Amino acid sequence: MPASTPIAGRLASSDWPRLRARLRRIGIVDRLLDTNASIKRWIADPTVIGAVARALDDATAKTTHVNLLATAVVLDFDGAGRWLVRIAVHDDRALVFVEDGHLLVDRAPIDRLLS
Amino acid sequence: MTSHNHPAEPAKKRDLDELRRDAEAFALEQHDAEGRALPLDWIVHPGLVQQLRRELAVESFSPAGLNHALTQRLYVRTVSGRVLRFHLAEVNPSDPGYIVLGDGHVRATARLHAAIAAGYQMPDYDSSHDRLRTAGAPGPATSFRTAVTETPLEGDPIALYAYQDNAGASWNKTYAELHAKSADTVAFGLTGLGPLLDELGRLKETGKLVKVLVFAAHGTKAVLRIGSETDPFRGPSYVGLHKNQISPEVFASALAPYLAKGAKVVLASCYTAGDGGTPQSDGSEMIQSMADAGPALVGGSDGLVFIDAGQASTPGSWWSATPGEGTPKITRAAPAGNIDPPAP
Repeated sequence: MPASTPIAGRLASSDWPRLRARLRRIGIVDRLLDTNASIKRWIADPTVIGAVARALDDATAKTTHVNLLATAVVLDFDGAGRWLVRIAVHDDRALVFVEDGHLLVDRAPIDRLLS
Repeated sequence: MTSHNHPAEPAKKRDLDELRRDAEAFALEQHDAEGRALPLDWIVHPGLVQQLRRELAVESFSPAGLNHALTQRLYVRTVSGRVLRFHLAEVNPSDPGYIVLGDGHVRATARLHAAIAAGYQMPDYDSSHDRLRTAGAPGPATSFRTAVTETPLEGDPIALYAYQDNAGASWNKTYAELHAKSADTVAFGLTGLGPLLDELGRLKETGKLVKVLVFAAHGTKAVLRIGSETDPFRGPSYVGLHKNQISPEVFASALAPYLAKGAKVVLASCYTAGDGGTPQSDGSEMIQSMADAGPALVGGSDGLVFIDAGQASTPGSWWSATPGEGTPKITRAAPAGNIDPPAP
């Protein structure tokens, strides 16, 4: 049974520039609860984390909301808590669902993250 | 667990045909904290009983006895008033296990478990799990206890916008509430099939039948979320073709008694009519099965569905399934754009 980890909330697109440098690892959620989640596995490989961070840097932000089922993921920031986003691969891009809409990002780093 | 005070005959192989034909209700035996059997809470909803009947598979009968410790009694009542009981026994979490009869056993199925879980509003059913054996477990919805025997033909037509009610999809609540400005349109927070049927029953009691039913919730190819974000994907918090999900036929037949003539069901969820290339992700099968099991025309997209305040739209094609027509048809080619239905 994976250990439960507390979640500070859902990441908004405006949080990313402020928190970006503190991203340490990313957890793939096994089971989502109200204010915490059990994590199937943590990814801390700097090349994967770096690639995801660059993809988020280059993201196109959209305020439209999308009704697509997606994988819940926890971003673990050093000293700034753990924040939830949801990620789905769609055609040649990936969608990162955040509190205020979604981000269109390169698919390759997301494929690697979720593989 | 000692006291079993519900009068019933142990079901045997010879009874399965009668149960498949004449079952009208089922009930799990539940216990209080001291192990005393609670009064049976009969599930009488036609769609769920129909699903149970279909899953009593006499073909898999084996005369071998099963001495499994983790079992739970299930009672089935027939139209003649006969009550039979058997045990559900699970072997491991990935296997639905067995239905233990008085003279042998047959295989249980995931769809049988889904009918039980939907009846008692659980995210999943597992006969080796203790949660239903003790008091405090969620009880079935009132509408499950009340037999619905007639499909109404008259009533005030209304629109119901059922929205996924959790933080991960808060825009759907905004969308539904923006549409529910008039007396003939209702917004409803969707947390599962039972609460939805309760709401539909409440509306029916006040003379209102749903002409337009919109589901604003997360989806993917041949899957529609109807429950909490925290429930497991392969549980009855989803309608779909996967194991343990509520089948589209059961879902549509559960809704049918509350729909007006000529009703339309709009799935404002991504990809519900899309084709994922597997039998479990065939959106055409999903929406056509829903249409065939109920009186409504069912529409869904084969692409993303965007919600922008009061408008739902899709860049994909819009598919419509008409009861009895065999396959859905594209009624608006991509990009279909706005999918909001007209008011009833």
